[in-house]
Amino acid sequence: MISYILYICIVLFLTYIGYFLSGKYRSAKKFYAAWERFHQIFLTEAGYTRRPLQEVIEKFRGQDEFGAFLAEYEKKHAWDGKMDFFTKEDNDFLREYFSCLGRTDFKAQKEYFDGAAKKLAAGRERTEKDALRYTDLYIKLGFLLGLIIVILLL
Amino acid sequence: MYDFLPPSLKTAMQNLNSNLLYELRLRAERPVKVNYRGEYLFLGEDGVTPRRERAIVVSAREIADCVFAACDYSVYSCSEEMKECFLTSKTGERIGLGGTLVRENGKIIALRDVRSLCIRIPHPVQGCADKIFSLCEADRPRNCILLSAPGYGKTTVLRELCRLLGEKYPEKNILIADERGELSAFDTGDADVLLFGGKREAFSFGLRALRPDIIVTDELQEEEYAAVQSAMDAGLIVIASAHFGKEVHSFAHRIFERYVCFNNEKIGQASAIYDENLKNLL
Repeated sequence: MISYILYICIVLFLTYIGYFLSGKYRSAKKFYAAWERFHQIFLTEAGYTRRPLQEVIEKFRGQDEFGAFLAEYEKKHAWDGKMDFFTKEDNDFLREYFSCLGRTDFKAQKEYFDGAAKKLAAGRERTEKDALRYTDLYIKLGFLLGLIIVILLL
Repeated sequence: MYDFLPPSLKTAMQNLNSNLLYELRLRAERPVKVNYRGEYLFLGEDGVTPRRERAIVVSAREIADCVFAACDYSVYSCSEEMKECFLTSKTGERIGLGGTLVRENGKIIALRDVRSLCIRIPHPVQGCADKIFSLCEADRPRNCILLSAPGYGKTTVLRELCRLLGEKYPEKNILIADERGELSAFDTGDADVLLFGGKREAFSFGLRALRPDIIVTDELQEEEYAAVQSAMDAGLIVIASAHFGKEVHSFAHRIFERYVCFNNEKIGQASAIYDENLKNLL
């Protein structure tokens, strides 16, 4: 009886490991979704009320990785780090986006950020698909590995 | 205060008495100057110094960062003011900007490559307008204008006058038409404030929307006196300031009941107060 419970635990544990390892894809998805939302709010606030960036940042305070990223950005109003769950291209885009934020008048900001909106939407869609695909894959791989180990033990 | 300044200056400023500091002048690759106790000196790492070679030198990059920070890291929120070559920081310092104005079809669309800053430090000085108030506004609110060359403390006195008016006449509604965000930077009492609007908009929208009895405004320009006259015709009291460094007799706009002139050595102290017949009351 105890051995069966142990086998189930092995399968569950390795399934969880699979889920855990796919976390970076979910983080990237969440980050892009929050970033796109930030972008939309920023353009609306800057366009209609010319509210300072700080007031837009306030709305995202304490939210997941994106909130933590903004807290880091706020310290120097520049960012030269790297997000572990992002590709090099994503990190370059993130760096470029936040190095332009707030630096010019609204007309110039809108021209740049309208272009950035397409990249943001594409990034969000890609990371959503990746998160779905890789979470599924890693869970299945974890489960299969668990089963293999159990079979070998039997 | 001074959050927007480069770190080297912030450190040096700690060695100064901010009550005695009136102005900071930053020019790219040039020594930093300060108006301290009414005297222009250089700013060194340990405080003010008369020696140029000991002064802190700021780079063009530091000035650009300073402007970015003074805009609260949002240039788009200050671009209209920047086109008029000024900014007002969150803490009320007025920052004059020197750079390259960009034109499109004859209209100024931006200011780029800012290379010099003139940072004026406002001081709330309670009691600085007592004498003026007693001679101009004590028995009833009067149309009054403060006249001087720049840098004689008109805004400080105007702000204090506004506070005193609010205390003396609580039944009167006061509107501050603050085009540059400087006038309402400190306590001005129970006044309504219309920030960053042009004077003509303030006199028109403010008058209709906020129904003031008294309008207080800073730095009247030549073309704005017609709006002032209209407000007076409508029965409002206007208290204003203007740049005018000559004899009051040559002042063209004789529509006020009191003319307060400042040309003393001491900043914020009236040298003469004239009534509507230009008789000196001091």
